[in-house]
Amino acid sequence: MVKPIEALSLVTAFFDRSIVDGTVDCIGQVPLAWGSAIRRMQSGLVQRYALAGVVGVLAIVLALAWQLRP
Amino acid sequence: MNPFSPANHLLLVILTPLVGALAAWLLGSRGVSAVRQSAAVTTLITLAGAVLLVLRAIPDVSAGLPFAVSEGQWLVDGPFDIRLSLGLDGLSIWLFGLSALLSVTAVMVSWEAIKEKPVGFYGLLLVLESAMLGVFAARDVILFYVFFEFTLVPLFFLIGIWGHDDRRRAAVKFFIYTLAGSVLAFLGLLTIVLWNAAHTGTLSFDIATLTAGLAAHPLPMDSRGGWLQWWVFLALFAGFAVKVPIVPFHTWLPLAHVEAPTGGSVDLAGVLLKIGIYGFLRFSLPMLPDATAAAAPWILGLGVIGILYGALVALAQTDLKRLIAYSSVSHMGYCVMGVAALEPVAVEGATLQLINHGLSAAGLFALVGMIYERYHTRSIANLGGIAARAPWLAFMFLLFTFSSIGLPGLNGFVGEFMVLLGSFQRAWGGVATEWRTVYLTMAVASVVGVVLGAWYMLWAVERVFFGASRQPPGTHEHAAGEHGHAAAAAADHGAHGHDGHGHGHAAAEPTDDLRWYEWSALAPLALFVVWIGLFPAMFLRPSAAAVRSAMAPGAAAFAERMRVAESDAHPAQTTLKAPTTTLTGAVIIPAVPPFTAGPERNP
Repeated sequence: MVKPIEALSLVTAFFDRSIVDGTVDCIGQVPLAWGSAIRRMQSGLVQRYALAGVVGVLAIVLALAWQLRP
Repeated sequence: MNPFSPANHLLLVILTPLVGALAAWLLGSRGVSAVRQSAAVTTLITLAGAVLLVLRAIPDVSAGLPFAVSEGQWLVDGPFDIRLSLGLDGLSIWLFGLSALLSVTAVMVSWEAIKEKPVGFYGLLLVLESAMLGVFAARDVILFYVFFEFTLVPLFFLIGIWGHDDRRRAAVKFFIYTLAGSVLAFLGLLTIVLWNAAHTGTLSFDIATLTAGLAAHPLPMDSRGGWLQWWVFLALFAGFAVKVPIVPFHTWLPLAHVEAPTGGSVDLAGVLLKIGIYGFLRFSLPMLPDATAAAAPWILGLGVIGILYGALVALAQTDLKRLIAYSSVSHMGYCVMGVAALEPVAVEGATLQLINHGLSAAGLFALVGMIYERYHTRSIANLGGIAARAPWLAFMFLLFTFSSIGLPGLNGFVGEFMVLLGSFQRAWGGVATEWRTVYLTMAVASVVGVVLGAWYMLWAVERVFFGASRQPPGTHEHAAGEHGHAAAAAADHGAHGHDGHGHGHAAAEPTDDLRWYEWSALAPLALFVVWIGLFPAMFLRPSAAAVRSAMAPGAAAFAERMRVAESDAHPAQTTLKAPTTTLTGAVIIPAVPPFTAGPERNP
C-alpha cells in the first residue's frame, strides 16, 4: 500500500511542477512574446519610421478610396 | 461624540498599525532593536484593541446583527456613493481577530531573522496588518476591493526584498497571478453594482444593500438573460479561487511561501488565503445563489481534488517549507468542500476551519523559520534529531502538526469533523438520486485525505525531529564544524556580538531551544489551538447566525435544483411528495443537523 502511494505522490509532484505550473508559466510567456515581437518595430531608424508612416497613410488613402468608390 | 463608540473603536484598531508604521519609520535611525520593539508594541496594542472589540461585538454578532457600523463619507459626491463603511459581523469577527493575533506572531518571528532594512520590513508588515483588518471590516464593495488589493502590495515587497534566493520571480508570480484573478473579480462586483442600480434606481456600493437588492432582483440565469449570473459567478470565482487557492490555480502559493520571509509566510498562510473563502461567503453565496447551486458539485469536486492532490504532492516534498505549503493547499480544500456542501454544519465547520488552519499553518511556518534560522537549511534530508537539542521546539511542532491533522481535542478536529459530517449529510439526504453516488464518492475520498495528511506530516516530524542528528551545528553553538553553513553561522554570530545582541554568549550551555521571542510568537497560537479544540461552541456560536443567513439563498437554490432533477428522473413518484421525503437518506440523517452550535441549541 505504501509503495504505490509514494510512487503516485512522486508522479503527482512531477505533474504539478511540469504540467500545472508549466501551463501557468506558458501563459505568462505570451505577453512577453508579444512584447519582444513588437519591440523590433522600435528600431530607432528614422527612415524606417517614415516608411511605416508612408505605408500607413497609403493604407488609409486606399481604404478611403475603396469606401468612396463610385 | 463618544471616542469609544464601537465604530470609533473599530476605526482605531484598523488605523493603529498605520501609526505604528509611521513610528517605525521615525525610529529608523535608532537601529534595528528600536524599530522591532516599536513594531511589537504596535501589534500588541492592536491585538488588545481587537480582542476588546471582539468581546464587545459578540452579543450583537451572535444575534446576527452587524456591529460597530460606521458610514464615513468618501466618494459620496457626484455620481458615486462609495462610503468608508466599516463594521464586523459573524462572518468576519474571528478572521478580524486572527489577523490581529497573527500580526504579533509575524513580528516576533522576524525578531532576529530580519536585520536588513528593518524600517521597510516592519513598516510593510504593519501596513499589511491594516489592510488585512480592513478587508474583513469593509462593508462597501469598493472599500473591500481596495483593501483586498492593498494586501498584495506590502507582501509583494516583503517577498521581493526580504525573501530567499528566487524571491524576485516568486514575488512577481504571486502578484500577477493574484492580480489577474482579482481584476476579474472586480468586473464581477461592478456588474453586481450596476445590475442593482438598474433595478432599484439607486447606485449603491453597500454590501448589505446589494445583497438585499440581488435577492429581490436576481441576476438572470437563463439564455434570455445571457447567463449573466454565471458570468458574474465565474468572474468572482477567478479572483477568490486564486486567492484560496483552489487546485489547479495554486502554483503561485508554494513558490511564494518558500521564498517569503517567515513573517510574510505567517500572514500569507494565516490570513490572506482566508480572504478567498471569505469572498465566496460574503458575495457568491448570498448574491449569486443560482449559479452557486449549479457550480456547487463542481467546486466540491475541486475541493476534494485539492485535498488529495495537495496531500500527495506534499508527500513527495523534500523541502520542509514546501511541504507545509502544499499541506495548506490540501487543508484549504476542506474549507472549499465545506462551503460547497451548502449544508449548515459544513459551512460553519469551514468558517471555523479557516481560523484553525490560520493558527496551525502560521505556527508551522513560524517553526520552519526557526529551524531555518538555526541550521540554515529547510531540506528534510539534512535535518534530523532536533527533538534532542530543542525539545520545546519539537513539542510545539508536534502540537501544530496534531492540530493540522485533526487530532481530537485540538481545533483542527472540530473543523474537519464538521465539514466531513456536513458533506456526508449532503450526500445521503440532500442530493438527487443521480448525484448521490458522486457525492458519497467525494465525501469518502476526502476522508482518504485525512489519512494522507497524517502520513506526510508525521513522516516529516519523524525525519526532522527524531533519529540521528544530520544538520550542521546550530547558529548559537560554537561553530568548529567543517560545514560551509557552520562557517556562515559563525560569521553571523560574530556580527550579533558586535551589535550587542549576542544573546547566545551569556548561556553556559547554549542550546537550540526556543527563545523568549519565539515563545511569544507561538504560545498565543498554541493557546487558541487548545481552546478552540476544547470549547469550539464558544467560537462557532457568534458566527452561526451570519453563516446561515449567508448560505441560505445558495442552499435553497441548491435544494430547488435537486428537487427538479429528482422529479425529472422520477416524474410519477415525486409529483405529490415533499422534497425531503423523496430522498431516502433524509430518514438516516434528519433535516435538522444533530451537531450544531447554532443559536437554537443555546439554552
